[in-house]
Amino acid sequence: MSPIAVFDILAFLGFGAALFFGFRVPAHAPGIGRLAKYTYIGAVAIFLLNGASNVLEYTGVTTQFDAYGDYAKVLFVPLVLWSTFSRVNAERLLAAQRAEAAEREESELLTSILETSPAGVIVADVNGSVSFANQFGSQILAEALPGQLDLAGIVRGTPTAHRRVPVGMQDSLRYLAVRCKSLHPAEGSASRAVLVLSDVTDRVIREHEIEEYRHGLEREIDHRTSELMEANRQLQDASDARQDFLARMSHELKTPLNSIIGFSEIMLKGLSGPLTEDQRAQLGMVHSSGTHLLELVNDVLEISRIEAGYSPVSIARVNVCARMGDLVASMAVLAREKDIDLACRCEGATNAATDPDKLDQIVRNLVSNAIKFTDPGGRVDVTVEQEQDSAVVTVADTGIGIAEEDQERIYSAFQQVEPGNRARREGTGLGLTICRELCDSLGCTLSLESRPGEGSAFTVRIPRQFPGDLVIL
Amino acid sequence: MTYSESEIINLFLVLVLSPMLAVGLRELRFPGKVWSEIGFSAIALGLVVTVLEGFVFPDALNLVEHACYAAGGICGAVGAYLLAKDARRAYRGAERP
Repeated sequence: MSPIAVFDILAFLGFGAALFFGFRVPAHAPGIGRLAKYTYIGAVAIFLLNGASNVLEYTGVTTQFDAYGDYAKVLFVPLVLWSTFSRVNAERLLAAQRAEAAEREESELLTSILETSPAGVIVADVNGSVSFANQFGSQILAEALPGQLDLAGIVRGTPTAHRRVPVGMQDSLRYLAVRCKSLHPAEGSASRAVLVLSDVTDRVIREHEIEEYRHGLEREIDHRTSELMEANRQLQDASDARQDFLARMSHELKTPLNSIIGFSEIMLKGLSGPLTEDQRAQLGMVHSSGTHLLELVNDVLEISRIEAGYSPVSIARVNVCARMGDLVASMAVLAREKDIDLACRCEGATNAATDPDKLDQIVRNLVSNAIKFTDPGGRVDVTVEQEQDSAVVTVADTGIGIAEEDQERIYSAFQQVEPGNRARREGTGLGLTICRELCDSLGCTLSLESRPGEGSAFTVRIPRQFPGDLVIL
Repeated sequence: MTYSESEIINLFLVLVLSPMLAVGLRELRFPGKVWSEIGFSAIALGLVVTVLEGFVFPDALNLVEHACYAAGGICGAVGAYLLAKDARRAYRGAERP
C-alpha cells in the first residue's frame, strides 16, 4: 500500500471521528450554539466524503463525489469561519447573560440590604428632590414636618457632615443621626448625595438624662464643696485658736515654772542665805515638783504640736550609728546614777533618710523609759543594725517587762503599767505616745517585744528612703 | 502546470479568511483549541500545497498534501473529542438546578 493510500485512510478515519464527536457536542451547551455545531459538521463532512471517495478509489469504486469533491472543498474554510464566529457570538451572548444575571443578583442583594436596613437611605439632589428612598427613609420623609428635614441644606453642606435632626410631632419626636456622602454628578445633572439616617432617639434621651444627672452632680458637688470649705474654715479657725492657746500656755506656764525651778535652785545652792534641813528638804520637793511639772508641760505641748500638725519634719541623711552612739553617751550619767549598765552596739555603717532631731527624741524617750523601769544593777542595750531597706534601732532592757495584754495600752497618753500594786514611776506617761506619733510622722515603725520580769525590747525601723514627698536635705 | 479553478478559489479563501479565523479564535477558550488550530492549519497547508503541486515537485507535494489532510483529520478528531467531552459536562452542569 502506498503512503498516499495510508494518509487517505488516516484522513478518512480522522474526519470520521471528528464528525462523530462533532455530533456528540450538545448544541445547547454554554457557548456552543446550533449554528456553530452544524456548520462545523458540514465542514468536516466535506473532507470526510472526499476521503471516503479516495478510499473507495483504492477498491476500484469511482464515486460521483470525486468529480465534485474539489469544488465542495471550497466551502470548507468559509464553513469553519462561520462555525467559529457563531461560537464567538454564542460566547458573547453567554457572557452578556452571565453579566446580566450577576448584575441582577447584585441589584437584588443591594435592594434587600437597603429595604431590611434599620437605617434610612435617601438619595437627594441639591434642590431637595428625592430620587431614591428605602422603606425606613420613606417613613421618615412621611413623618417629617415641613422644615424639619432640610434635604437641600444637608446635600449642600459639608460632604461628610454628621448632624442630628429632630423629626416628627412633639409627642412622637425622634432624633436622627444624618450622614451625608456626595455623589459625583452626571454631566448636566444636579449634585446628589446619599443620606444615611439612623434613629438615635434612645441615645439622645440617655444623653439628656446623663447631662441632667451630671448637672445635678455638679450642683451637689458645689454644695458639698462650699460646706467643706466652710467646715475647713472653721477647722482652721479652731486650729489657729488652739495654736494660739498652746503658745499662750507655753509662755504662761513655763515662765513661772522656770522662775520656780530657777529660784529654788538658787536657794538650794545657798546663794540667798543658809537653809535649815527642813527648809532644804521642802525646797527640794518644790524643785523636784517644778521640774516634773515642766516636763509634763513640755510633753503636753509637744504632743499637742504633733497632733495639730505643727511639728515640721526636716529630712536629712543620718548616720544612725554615730548619732545613737552620741545619744547613749549623753545619757550615760543618768544610767550611772541608777547603777544601770548602758551600752550602744552598732553593726556596720547604717544610714537612713529621716529627721535627726526627732529620731533623737524617740530614742531618748525609749532609753529614758528603759532606765526608769529597770532596777539598779540591770542593763540597757541600744543596738543599731542595717537591714535591706531600713535602719533598725533596738532599745532592750532587763527591766520589769510588760504583759502582753498591756502592750497596746502603754501607747495611750498618761498611761503607765506597773506589775502588781507597785507605785507609779516618775514620769508623765506621755513618752511612748510621743514616740509613736513621731514614728508615724517619720514613716518609721515602732514595735515591742516584752515579757513580764524579763525586760522589754522596743524596735524602731527607719526606712532608708523617706516615704513622704519631702526633699532630702 | 495543471491546476483547477476550485484550487485557486481555495487558495484565495485560505489566504483571505484564515486571518479572520485567527481573530475569531482569539476570543474563544475551549479544550482542544490547540488541536483544532493545528488541524485547520494542516488542512489549509494541504489546500495551498494542492495548488503548488501543479507547478513544482508534483509527486512530493502530492504526498505532502495527503499527509496534511491525514494530520488535519486526526488533529480535528482529537480537538472535537476534547470539545465534545467538555461541552457535554458543561451542558449537564447547566441543566442541574
